[in-house]
Amino acid sequence: MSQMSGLDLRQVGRGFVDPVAGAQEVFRATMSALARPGLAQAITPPGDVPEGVSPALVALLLTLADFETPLWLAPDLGDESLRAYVRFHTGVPLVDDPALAMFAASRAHGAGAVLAQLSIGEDRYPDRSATLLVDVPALTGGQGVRASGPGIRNTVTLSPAGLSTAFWQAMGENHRLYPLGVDCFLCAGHEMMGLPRSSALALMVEG
Amino acid sequence: MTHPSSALPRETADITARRRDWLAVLARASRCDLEAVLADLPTVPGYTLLRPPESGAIMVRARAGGSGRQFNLGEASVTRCTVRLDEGTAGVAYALGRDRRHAELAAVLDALLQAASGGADLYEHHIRPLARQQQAARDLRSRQAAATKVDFFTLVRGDG
Repeated sequence: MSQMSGLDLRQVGRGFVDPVAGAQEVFRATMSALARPGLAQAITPPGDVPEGVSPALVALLLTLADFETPLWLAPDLGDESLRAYVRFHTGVPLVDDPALAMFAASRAHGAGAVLAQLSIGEDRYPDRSATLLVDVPALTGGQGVRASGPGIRNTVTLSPAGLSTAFWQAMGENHRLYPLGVDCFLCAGHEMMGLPRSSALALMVEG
Repeated sequence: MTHPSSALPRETADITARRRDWLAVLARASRCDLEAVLADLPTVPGYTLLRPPESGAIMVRARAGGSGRQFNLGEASVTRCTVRLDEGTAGVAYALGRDRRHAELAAVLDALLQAASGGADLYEHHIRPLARQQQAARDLRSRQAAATKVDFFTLVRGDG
């Protein structure tokens, strides 16, 4: 496990300006996001955000990660300053193997491959599965996906940008594992949406 | 666990040792002492609170007789703070109690003490006197305690 003494605090910015209220507001938003899949939720941005990551993803990490939740960060997500930032503010242990992580964060590109490696929980403890945070370019403008399931009246159509067909296939596989499986948050700018394992997703045919 | 400074170059190890020393002085000092030190500086630099002062509890552990088995002595309130000066140096503080201002002042002074220019001066003129005061108070207390010390002994009981 990494030692705090190795942190370069010159690279670290501020967390939530009001740590308690900030984390509570974002936690409330994550619950709404999982209760209403596919509906964008606004987050409270942190005071400073490391280079190359959305404020929403950083806010989720500040809110959810702690010293008991191993975190895997995709190598192409952010730089050293993101790693120093989350270690300083949350005390989270960083792991090299996605299979050991309770939280994983990735760019849109490569998110499908990561999803397949994450812990899906055990039959007796489905809650021990991992949660995937994906940084997407935007929550709209991409390929249309129809979602249905708990928390969705009839169906909802979402169109987050930057996600490949392979990702949606992996999400479909993930849904079939229910009640096991990974819960997912898509983050862009100051917004995020939840895609829990309970949501059935279908790619919409163009035209 | 290995000593964190053992693997570091000599110069870094030296700074770490001195920093440990002044962090202890800053933690033990009163808030008034620290306010006075800061008020005495020609200019107080701008800084950002990387981690605003926050209070929590830690478990204080000790060893019986200083070398025996480790045990939990009890919980203590601790307040910590991390700041970064506008020029980039970061300072940290952990202090017993729940005085948020104390932790913030101590973190700012920790950052200032690390400065290549002015850090040594600040130490000589403000921190060393505080350290001497604290040492004197500790010596006095231990002398007062020593005066009340009672040596217990048991006389050898006769066999018959």
